Amino acid sequence: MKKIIGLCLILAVILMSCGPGKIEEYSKSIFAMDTILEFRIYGNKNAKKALDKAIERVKEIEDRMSATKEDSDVAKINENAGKQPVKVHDDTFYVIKKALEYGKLTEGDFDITIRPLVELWDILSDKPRIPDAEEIEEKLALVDYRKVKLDEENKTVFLEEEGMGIDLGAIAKGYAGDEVTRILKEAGVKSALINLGGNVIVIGRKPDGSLWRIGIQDPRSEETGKSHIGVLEVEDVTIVSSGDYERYMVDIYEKTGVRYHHIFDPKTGSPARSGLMACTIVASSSTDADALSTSLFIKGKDEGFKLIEELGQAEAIAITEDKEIYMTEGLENMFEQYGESYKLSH
Amino acid sequence: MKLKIGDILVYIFILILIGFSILGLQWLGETTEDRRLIVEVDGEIVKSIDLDEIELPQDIRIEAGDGGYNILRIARDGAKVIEANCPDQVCVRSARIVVPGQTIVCLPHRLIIRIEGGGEDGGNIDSIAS
Amino acid sequence: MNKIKKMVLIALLISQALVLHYIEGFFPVLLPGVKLGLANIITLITIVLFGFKEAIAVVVIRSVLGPILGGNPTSILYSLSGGILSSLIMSLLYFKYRRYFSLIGISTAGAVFHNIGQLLVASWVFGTISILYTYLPVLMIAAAVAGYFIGLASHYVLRFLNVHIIKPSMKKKAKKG
Repeated sequence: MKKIIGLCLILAVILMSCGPGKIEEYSKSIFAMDTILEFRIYGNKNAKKALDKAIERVKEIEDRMSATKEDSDVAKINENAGKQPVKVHDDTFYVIKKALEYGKLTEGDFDITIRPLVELWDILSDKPRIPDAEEIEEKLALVDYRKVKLDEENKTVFLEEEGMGIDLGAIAKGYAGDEVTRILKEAGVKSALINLGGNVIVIGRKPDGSLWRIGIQDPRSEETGKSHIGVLEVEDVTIVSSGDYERYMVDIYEKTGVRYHHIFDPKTGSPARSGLMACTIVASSSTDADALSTSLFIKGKDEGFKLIEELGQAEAIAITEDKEIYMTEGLENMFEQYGESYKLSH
Repeated sequence: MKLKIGDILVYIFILILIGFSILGLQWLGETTEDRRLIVEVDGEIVKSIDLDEIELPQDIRIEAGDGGYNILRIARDGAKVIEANCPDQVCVRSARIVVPGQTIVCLPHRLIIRIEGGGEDGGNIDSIAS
Repeated sequence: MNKIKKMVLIALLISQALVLHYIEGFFPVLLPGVKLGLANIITLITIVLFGFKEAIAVVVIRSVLGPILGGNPTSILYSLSGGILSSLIMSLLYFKYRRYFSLIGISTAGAVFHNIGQLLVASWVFGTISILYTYLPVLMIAAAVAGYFIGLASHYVLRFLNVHIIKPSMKKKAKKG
């Protein structure tokens, strides 16, 4: 009998020691991609290594896809617009291809060739300005996603006209999110919360087995005094929001009440006015969620929801300028409203 | 089968344990009630202030390294950046933060100001999608 | 009882514990961590028929093999901690204070400490004590119900075994060991 017990105990100890090891929380916040990236992951030592690897990967993506970094794939493509095709990394190629697909899906509402307008308005800088109609007209002529030519074999990208430029700001962060998720999951991380400058990704559930509670940004928090309009209880998804509250010309807003924000409508050349203050996409792919949230914000509630329902792989929340909250059916059971400044509509 | 005295004791023991854990839960709830203002520079917490203990509004200066600074005006009900020597001035133009979860960020100075804590219902969240 | 017979009986008990563990996998999970713990019937029977050491052996082997066969080796730690703690308590009550406790009381106490053991490991693994407070009330109520049922079931199984399988003389001898 003693032998049996001894054997069992030895077996148990061996099994425990080669098991998953102690689960710990690793958190890190870094500044990259012009924003803060926050990571909170639960796992063993492997997970910590994976986190460092994931952060490296994010920086690599930034170096390749930033429009402002010298030597990035995107900067090279823009410099060579109208001149010659540029060979790019596989991931840049993939993201541009994906973005062009969304251009097609949204009939041009999602358009990465928006760069000339971004530069014209310069909302993200310290000296933004409202350009006149003529200037906008002139730059609008350069905006057309169909003039981006991809060569699948040589992995080259070519912008057909001089002066054209692409900006992956509306999709690169989403792609980075998918890559981070892939790296962490490959390392066996079962539970993590990642916030890439507002794009939230959750892996699994919280370590205690409960769902993650993710707040949806209140687009007018300075008026309502609340940080979020409600909470989504979720597992294994990406939540991406877009809105007029992120970056806008504060001085002009305070004087006139008009928000000149950073999401441009490629059809008008001005900040999108579709009747939405903000919108949120919940999906499993972060790249899709990122592209869709920009598309929904530009298209507006009716058209945007129609597109999302047709695609059938994402759910959405829209907050209109009348302070009404709409959402697709799949979210109704997960959403819990917070505060009374907005009206929940169906 | 008849229950014996010890069996009753086991059930009383269970009730006591339940009572204690409910007390524990309440105690946990109370400790998350107070709101703290957290200031981080480059990922490190440089200031952690209990907002409920502030009597009068006050200004504090945060050195962000390389001669960079941000001046915060903090009060019992929130905080705001009133002055900074960063190039983009985004933090100065950011709205005052009042509730847990809100943040002000100064990217050039790698500075994050946020409010933590709060036991309000719906306030208990892990992150905000913005 | 000779050595071989004892070994065969213990092997039988272990395999029955594993089968019960497996069957329980088909039951719907009401809440995380809330289980009937059918395999504890076997633990209790082993304590009564053979003794403490044998019960520990059955629990350890069952706790290690069950999760492996079930394809979820990470839960070994939980099963072990709960199983060992509960057999300690049940043996203590059975061998020292049997006068004051029926099998129902003993198995309920076992269920309570089974859950406490698992929670202690969980709060150690996750490094937070709050799991303890959050889950304890639910798990204690579950333990009360499950313990009652397991105690009752063990009582009937033992009565059947005593009458039909194990001769009274053998039983006495086994208890001494």
